[in-house]
Amino acid sequence: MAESTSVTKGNVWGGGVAPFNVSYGKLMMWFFLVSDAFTFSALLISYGTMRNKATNVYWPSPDEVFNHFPFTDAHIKLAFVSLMTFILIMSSVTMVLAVEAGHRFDKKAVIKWLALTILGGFFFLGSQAWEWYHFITGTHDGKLVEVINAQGLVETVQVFGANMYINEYGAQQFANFFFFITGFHGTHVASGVVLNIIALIRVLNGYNDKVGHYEFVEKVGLYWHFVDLVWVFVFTFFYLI
Amino acid sequence: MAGFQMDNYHYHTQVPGEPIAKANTGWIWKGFFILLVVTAIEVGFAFLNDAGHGETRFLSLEFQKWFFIALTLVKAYYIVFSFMHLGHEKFSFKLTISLTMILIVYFIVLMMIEGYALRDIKLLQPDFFKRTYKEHHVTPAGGEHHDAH
Repeated sequence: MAESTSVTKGNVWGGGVAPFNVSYGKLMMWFFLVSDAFTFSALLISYGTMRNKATNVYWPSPDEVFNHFPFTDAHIKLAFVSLMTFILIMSSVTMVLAVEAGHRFDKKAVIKWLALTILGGFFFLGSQAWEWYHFITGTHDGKLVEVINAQGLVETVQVFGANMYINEYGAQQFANFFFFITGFHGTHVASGVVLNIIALIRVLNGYNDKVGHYEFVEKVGLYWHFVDLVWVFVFTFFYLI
Repeated sequence: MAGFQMDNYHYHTQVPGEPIAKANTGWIWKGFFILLVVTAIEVGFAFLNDAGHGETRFLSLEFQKWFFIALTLVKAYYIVFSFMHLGHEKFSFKLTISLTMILIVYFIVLMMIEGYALRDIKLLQPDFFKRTYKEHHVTPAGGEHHDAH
């Protein structure tokens, strides 16, 4: 500690200190998140490009595709996805509370908030599975769609729901982008839940007491907030616009 | 050496064994409230402006799009600067993270223009995409194949 305080300002980048006042682990997590932001940006930008290429008639309206809600037959647009957004924002809040409790070495509070964060993650993943299920099974009556068959002839078939090859709601690319982007985001949520569980096990095992800080919880927290951040953009570009 | 990182943190570090400090969570709930209200405004606006297939639309879809993007950026700001604590980091670190994303803005502008250009080609020259599609995916049937090389 004496070494670091004696370092003069000109020597900040000379090694031996953390120039950003951020520990190595946190800095690398930030850099990883920036690179991950590039990945998600590229995916959403390609979605936007294809959306702009398509005419409004051809592109499905998300309001009409995702308007189901569990335990009811009513069609309410945006209701379920708003609930998913609320769940993820809420789990982000419990994560900040866990990090804040870690700063105060309040082990009991860290355990409580981390456990709630994991619960929120599972709820979100379950909701996403439900959403996918309804998109894949489609409407009750299906829709007649013109396709080109193996002989190269135009044929009319009845299509139920969407998959990687055909989409009853309209543009095939809409389904493909939906599966890829929400699937990629869901993978991030799933790995975030795994990381949260690892953090919780470490806290329970007394790892953080031994090393004298809760930085692991903080790094996992950064990742979790990033996942929430991505969802905010997916929500806007897939469901609102 | 091992100790310097902990010492440089902006938050206070508790000495283990001392009584636990009182939680300071006001700023967290403030952030939560902002995120909740902004999302509620988005959803409410989507309902009001587009209930029943555009019959009650009082503002254009173009305005709605930019309105939603602006509110999304507000939410992103609060998540990154408050929840992820970037607002409390050193100025040089804030620049390192946020300046990098400016390149993405340029990429977005380029690709959105590209998307509209592709649409115009499709509308004005319908054969442009059809031709390549036929060549690659459809076996010629019944003299329908005009696209000799």
